[in-house]
Amino acid sequence: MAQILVLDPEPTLKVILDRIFADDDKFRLLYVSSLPVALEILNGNPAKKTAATAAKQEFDGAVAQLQGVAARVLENKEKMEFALREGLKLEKQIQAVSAETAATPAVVEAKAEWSKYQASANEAKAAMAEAAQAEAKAQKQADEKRARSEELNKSVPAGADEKVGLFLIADSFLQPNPGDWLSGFKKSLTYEINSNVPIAVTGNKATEHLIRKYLIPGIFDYFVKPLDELLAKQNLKFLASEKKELEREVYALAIKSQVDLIYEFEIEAISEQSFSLYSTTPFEKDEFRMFSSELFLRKLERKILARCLQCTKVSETEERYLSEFWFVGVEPFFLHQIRGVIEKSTSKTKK
Amino acid sequence: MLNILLISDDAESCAKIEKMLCEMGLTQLTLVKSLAEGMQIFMPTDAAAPVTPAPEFNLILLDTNLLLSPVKDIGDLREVRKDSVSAATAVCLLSKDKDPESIRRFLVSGVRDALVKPVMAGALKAVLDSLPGVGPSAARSMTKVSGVAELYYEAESVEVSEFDILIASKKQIPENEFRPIYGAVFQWTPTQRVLARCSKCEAEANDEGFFFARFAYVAVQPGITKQVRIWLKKEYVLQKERGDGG
Repeated sequence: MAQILVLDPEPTLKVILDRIFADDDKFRLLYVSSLPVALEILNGNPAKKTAATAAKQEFDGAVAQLQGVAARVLENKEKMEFALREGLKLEKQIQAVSAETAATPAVVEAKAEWSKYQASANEAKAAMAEAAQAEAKAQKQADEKRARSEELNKSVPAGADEKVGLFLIADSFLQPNPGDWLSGFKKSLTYEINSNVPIAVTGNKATEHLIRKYLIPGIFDYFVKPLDELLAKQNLKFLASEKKELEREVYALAIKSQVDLIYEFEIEAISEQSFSLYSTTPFEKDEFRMFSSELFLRKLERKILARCLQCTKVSETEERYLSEFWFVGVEPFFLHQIRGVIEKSTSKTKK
Repeated sequence: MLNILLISDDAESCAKIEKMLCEMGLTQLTLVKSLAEGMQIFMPTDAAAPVTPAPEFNLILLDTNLLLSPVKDIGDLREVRKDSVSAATAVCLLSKDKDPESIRRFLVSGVRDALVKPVMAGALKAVLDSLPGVGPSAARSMTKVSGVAELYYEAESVEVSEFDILIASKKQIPENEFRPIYGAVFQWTPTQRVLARCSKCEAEANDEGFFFARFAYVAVQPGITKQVRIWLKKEYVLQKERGDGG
């Protein structure tokens, strides 16, 4: 069973999540109200677990002691009963003896024996009474230990000491800087089994640039509220599942269409005919690429075609390249825009 | 003196270009009105005529209006001149459409540049100056700026669902990498782009050098997934009608 730990105070989210996972016994939802409690679960809750374990051990000890005392009570009771039974037999025998045979050695011995049994019975009775007192005390101690152990075990959150498949957390907990929060959070994870728990964020952000602040290594998704149930179900199950190979109950269409994967690179310099940029992948000479930038502000979505003039690796320790691209298909408005950018940068430099 | 071959049926543009070249002091211009005529220059059909070597051109200006199938047409042009002195001559396109998405499909192997009509003198001169051995060899004056460029790296969708998209890319994508994806297939969002996480990418490329990567949509705004479902249903019906299966 995969566990999803949820830290988001919004009540409607709980309703939706409960609905999504209502009929699925392969997933369990754990709701917590604060980050410290979430950490207790993720870290297996060692302090409380240790206390609960110790209390359980004490309870077990008290039970063993109680059993010992109870055994003593029983033993003494049996002794007493035996002595009384034997004493009674002898008493009857003695009573049946006539006055002539009362002083015979056998009868005298029998009387002595009877006295011993009486004494033994009295001893056993006293010991039994003492043991019964001890038993009552031990019972009381055992009851106290049981109550304490149960209390401590109840205080250990459900799911502690178990693997968490996914931690779903509201974006408000990651403020002001998600990167710093994640770094601190990772340091707080001491339970190895959950040290790499996947994290997904919930929130109301609407723009890509605000959402991308949260999509740092270690965070796998951002769910915009209110959740789309089918989408959330598909993605939450995938993230929480160990195998990561869920049966795809997905309806897909074969559609062949051009798409573009968008990569961001830093522009280094610009001229009227070309620009240079730093990239993490090399470009081939004369290859054409499409770019977009605020600097290339044009009516048509700020896109420009460019041809690679040259590409040079500029770092020995990392994949970093400086490439120059020649603008292709330039029209007057674009040239005017580029000149404005150059003028602005030049005047800034002069200042 | 540069020798330029202009292949275009746009009389107005041809006249303007001719005038610009004249003002630049470059009068060696050969003008033809169709691609077939252009190819003829390199491949005379009259077998009886003596073989006259085609002149060496420094630049071929080719109007995209004359191209029905860019890859084939430009390939054929390259093929006919492969044994001539103009085998390595750069091809610069003339496009009436300034939309980069429209020009992009013409930028096939053999093409070096593109000019948007009406052609500006400065842009034409820049193209001429950039030809090997023609323009000034001094380095361009570049101005340091602060900015970010988004590279639109071409890929192709293979399969689209309400939760994810399978794409074929020439570049291997690291799993769990987040990437905005742009495309007309995402017409369900105002910007036609969605943020997605690579949930799986094949370790090996196929025979054609494509890696298949599945991207799960991330941070889809409320209501969008519903639009996607409606769109998918419509697409399904359209595909059925076209007999594409689905």
